Order: sequence, then structure tokens, then C-alpha cells
Amino acid sequence: MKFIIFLIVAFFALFAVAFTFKLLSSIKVRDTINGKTTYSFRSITPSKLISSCFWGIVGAVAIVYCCSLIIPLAWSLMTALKTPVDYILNSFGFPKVEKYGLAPENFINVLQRFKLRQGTRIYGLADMLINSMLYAVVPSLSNVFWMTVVAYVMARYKFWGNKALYNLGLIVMLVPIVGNMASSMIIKKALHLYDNMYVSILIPPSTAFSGMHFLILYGAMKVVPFAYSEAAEIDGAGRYSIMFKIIIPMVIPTCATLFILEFIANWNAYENFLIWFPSTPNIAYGMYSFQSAASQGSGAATVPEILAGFIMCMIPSAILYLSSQKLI
Amino acid sequence: MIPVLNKEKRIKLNKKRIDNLFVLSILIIPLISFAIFYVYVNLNSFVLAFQSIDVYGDYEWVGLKNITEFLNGLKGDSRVGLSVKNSLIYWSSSFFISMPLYLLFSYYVYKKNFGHSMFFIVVMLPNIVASFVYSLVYKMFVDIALPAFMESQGFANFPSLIYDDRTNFGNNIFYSIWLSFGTSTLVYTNAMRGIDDEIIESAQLDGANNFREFFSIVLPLIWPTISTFVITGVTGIFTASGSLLVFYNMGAPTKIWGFGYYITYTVKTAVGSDFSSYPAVAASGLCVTIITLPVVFFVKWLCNKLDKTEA
Repeated sequence: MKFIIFLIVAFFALFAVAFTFKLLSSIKVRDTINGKTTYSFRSITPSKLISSCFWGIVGAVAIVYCCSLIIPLAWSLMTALKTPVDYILNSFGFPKVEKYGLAPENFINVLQRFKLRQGTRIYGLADMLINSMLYAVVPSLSNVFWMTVVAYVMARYKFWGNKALYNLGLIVMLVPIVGNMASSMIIKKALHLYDNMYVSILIPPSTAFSGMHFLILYGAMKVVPFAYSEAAEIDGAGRYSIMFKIIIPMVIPTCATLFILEFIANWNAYENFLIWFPSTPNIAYGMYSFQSAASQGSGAATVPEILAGFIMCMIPSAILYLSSQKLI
Repeated sequence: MIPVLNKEKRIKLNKKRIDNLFVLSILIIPLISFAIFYVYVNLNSFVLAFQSIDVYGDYEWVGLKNITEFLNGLKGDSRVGLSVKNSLIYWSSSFFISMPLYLLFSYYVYKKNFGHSMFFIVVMLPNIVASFVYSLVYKMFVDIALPAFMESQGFANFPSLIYDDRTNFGNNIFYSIWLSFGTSTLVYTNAMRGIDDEIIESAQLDGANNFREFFSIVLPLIWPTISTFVITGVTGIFTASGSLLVFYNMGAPTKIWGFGYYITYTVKTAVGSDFSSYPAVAASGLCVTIITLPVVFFVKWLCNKLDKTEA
């Protein structure tokens, strides 16, 4: 009961803060001569009060939402540092440092215990890391490369079927083909691509002229003035030189952004490994299986160790995302 | 004069021919990949919908049998029927609750209201720390920490929201909404930031309050962005499954299956080269595609009709 009362009071406090902030900003008057800001309380109208109330509620809900996102992460970080006894006796609260101490060794233990048996082979952390890197780098590079060159020729050359190909790309985007996974499985098994990640990652994307990323590159290619290509052509540059040495370098920031987005998506891809490459786990699929095994009581690690593993998994993605903030 | 013209024409033709060869050299590999992994896969899926496969891998034409079975399944409580209905519920609850919230939160951030910068960073957390890790952390939190905490607050026997029959469906809906704010808020806020400040200022000088500004200026001006999200969102209307794979792997209770999960489950659990369950998947996929297609094009038409930015 106390907890519910606390929640209600906290919500009203947040609402009050957001409401006051909104109301004050709506009655703010800036003196253009001396640059001072004053508040005209006389200008408060019922309409402003209602508007501030509404946005106060939105603000309170937004902050509650933020807390709901932070709490599980904070819990996982706290639990990752707990000793097994501390975790069993106190699975939700802060670590009882003075009584049980902290257990940073969880981070080392999970590295040693993070193993996955697939058939007869046992995959360790290094194997999964290699698979993760391969799956994150090669298809991302391949996708961005093929989309870039296709976008280049479609945006800058007039050829028979260009318009039709562009429209086909839009149709592919719009038409929701459902249920082709069965057919895809039959064909991939026939081509020996099922459960064969090392070959599958080398295959070019099936729809290099479709999708949001292609449209972004197509737009970027259209914007580059044709004068650059014409000048290079007069100087005797060939078609490949113009494409690779002049035009593509101009859209490299767009390509880099798309590469980072694809890299993060592929780094996190556990579903693809679950369905298509179950015998070559990446870190995401490994962690997923490791956690599933632990929740069924057959895992080799404790909950704090598993959470320590999760924290370590977050690091590459977080570093890449934060370091590329300006690009994204 | 004539030979000169002919020479120029020849040079032009030659250039055109080399251009075409260059274009072909670039497009040939993506087109082959498209032909095999898109066209052939989908054609094969279409054909599969009218066939059956026995345990020895022999194919037989069965006409409309698979499609009839799917349509009959929609009426009853079969796995496939239930999963289509659930998908519709997942999609509509997620769409109709999330969309207004995305727009409200984005406007809240755009107007730099209280806590806007913190909100903008925190909402991207699942993207920053890897979404699969976030999902697994959520799973463990709901499964372990939340019951422990609720028990400490006097709520004895608080269920695991993921595994309890009374809560698992609602939990799946909640989770889909809860984790979906990052990209949408980023995109909508950036679209709002693209609105010319002078338009907003002149509206404010004319006495428009926040509601008026939001509904009469901001929403119409970012309509192209909204309609893109709506149209691409509608394509998943009958396939939405929430996060069943993360929470249950191949063990989700049948009553909460979405159609996407039904397909993945059926394809994944077929052992070795026993494809006998695949024609049913292909037939149901074909039917769902046929149902979804007019919906998508109707929504696209409607979005274009409502677009006032082109005027």
C-alpha cells in the first residue's frame, strides 16, 4: 500500500514540476532592451492553465517512462556486482556491501563459463565474438556497397528500365509478402546455405535497389552536381574512376551512417542465428541461449554472472553508438 | 558535313553502349541475387501453397486444399486462426496507443519542456545498449526482480508476467509498446525541428496556443513523415508477434501466438528435410498477403489524400 501511495505522490510531484515549468515558460516576457526575463502573471488565462495541465501530465508520464527504462538496467548492474548469497537473500535491492561485499569476479567468471554446446562442438566466447564480428562487418559492408553502387547508376545514368527498377523497389517495399520463410528454407537447404553463415554472408543483398537505406543513398547521389562527373570525364577519367574516386567519396558520410546502423542491427541479430545459422552462434544468440538454459535450471552460471555477461555485451554497441552520435 | 555528323553520332552511340555496359556490370550481380532470393523464393512459395509434401519429400498438387484449410482455420480456434487474430490485436493495440504517444512525446521534446534532454537520451537507451540485451534484462527483471520487490511490498505470490497465463498476453503487448519509442521519437522530433521557426512564431503571434499549434501546424507539416511510418507499419498488420521469440524461444503458449511466430515456429521446428508442414505456411502466407495488400494501398491512398503539405 505504501508503495502505491508513493507512486501516486511521485506522479503528482512530477506533474507539479512539469506544469509549473510549462506555465512559467508560457508567461515569460523577454525585455528586448535590457535582455532581462520577467514573468507576466497577469497574462495567465484559462487556456494557458489547461494547456500547462495537459503538457504537465505528458511530462510526468514521460519521466515515469524514463524511470521504467532505467530501473531494469540499474537493477542488472547492481545484481551483476552481488555475491551469490547477497543475490539469494536480496534479489531486488542494492548490494549489501558491508555484509557480503561486492563480487566483480562475476565479470571474469562469466567469461570462463560462457560456453554453448551446439551438436558436438562447444563454442567459447572467442568463437562467438569472431562470428559476431563477421556477421556484423561483412553483410553490413556488402549491403552498403551494393546499395551505393546501384543507387549511383540509377541516380546518374539514363538506361532502359531505370524507372521500372525504381518502381519495382518501391513495390517491394510496400508489398508485404508473408509466409515465404518456408520456401526460403527449402531453397537455402538445397543451395547448402542453411546453417552456413560463412558462405551466406558473402551473398549480395536480394533487394539492393529497395528499402529506406537505398532511398537515402539514391537521394544523396541525386544531389551531387553532374558537373563533377562531366569535368572528370573531360580530364579522361573512366566510369569506374568517376564512381569510386569522385562521386562515392562525396557521399561517404551517408554510407558510414548506414554502415553503423546496419552494423548495430547485425551485431544484435540473434533471430537470424536462431533460425538460419543455429550451429554458428554469435554473442547475441549465445547470450540468449545461455540465459534460456539458466532460466530452465540447466545453465552453468548464476544470475549475477549472467547479468555481468549482459553488461559486457552492451559495451561494443554502446561505444559504437555514442562515438557515432554526430553521424547518426 | 554529313560524315562529321555520322562520326559524332557514332561516338554518341558508342558512349551510350559503353554506358549501358557499365550499368549492366554494376546491376548484374544484384539482379541475379534478386532473381534467386526474392523472385524465385516468392514464386516457389506461391506454388508451394497449392502443393503438399510427404515425409519422403515428394510434391503433389492439391489445388485449393491448403487455402481452404487456412480459411476454415480462421473461423475456428486453430493455431493459425488464433495467431492471425492475435497479430491483429498486437498490431492495433501497439499502433493506436503508441502513435499518439510518439507524437506527444516528440512535441514535448521539440518544445523543450521540462526534462526534454534527459528524455531524449533515456528513450534511446535500448538502441544504445543493444536491444537484444535490453530484452533479456527485461525478461529477467520481470521474472525475478519484480515478483521479489512486490512481495517485499506485501503483494504475496505476485506472478511472473511472462509465464503467468493471465498476464502473458498483456505483457507481450506492453513490451512491444514500451520498447518502441526510441527511433520513432528521434525521427518525429527531427521532423518537427525541420519546421520553419517563422511559421511557429507567426502562429503564436496570432494567438495560437500549444494545442492549436500541435494540431493545426506541426502535425500537417510533418505529415509525410507520419504517413511513411503509418504505411510501413500497416504492412505488419497481420504478422505482428511482439517479442515472443525473446521471451519463449520455441515454447510460447499457443493462445498468445502471433502470425509471425506461427510461421517461424512451423518452419523452425520441421525436423531435417521433412517439409510436410511448409505448404500450410505458404498457403496461409499467401492468403494473408492477399488480405493485407488492399489494406496497405488503401492506407497509402488515404495518407496521400490527407496530405496537406503538397497543396
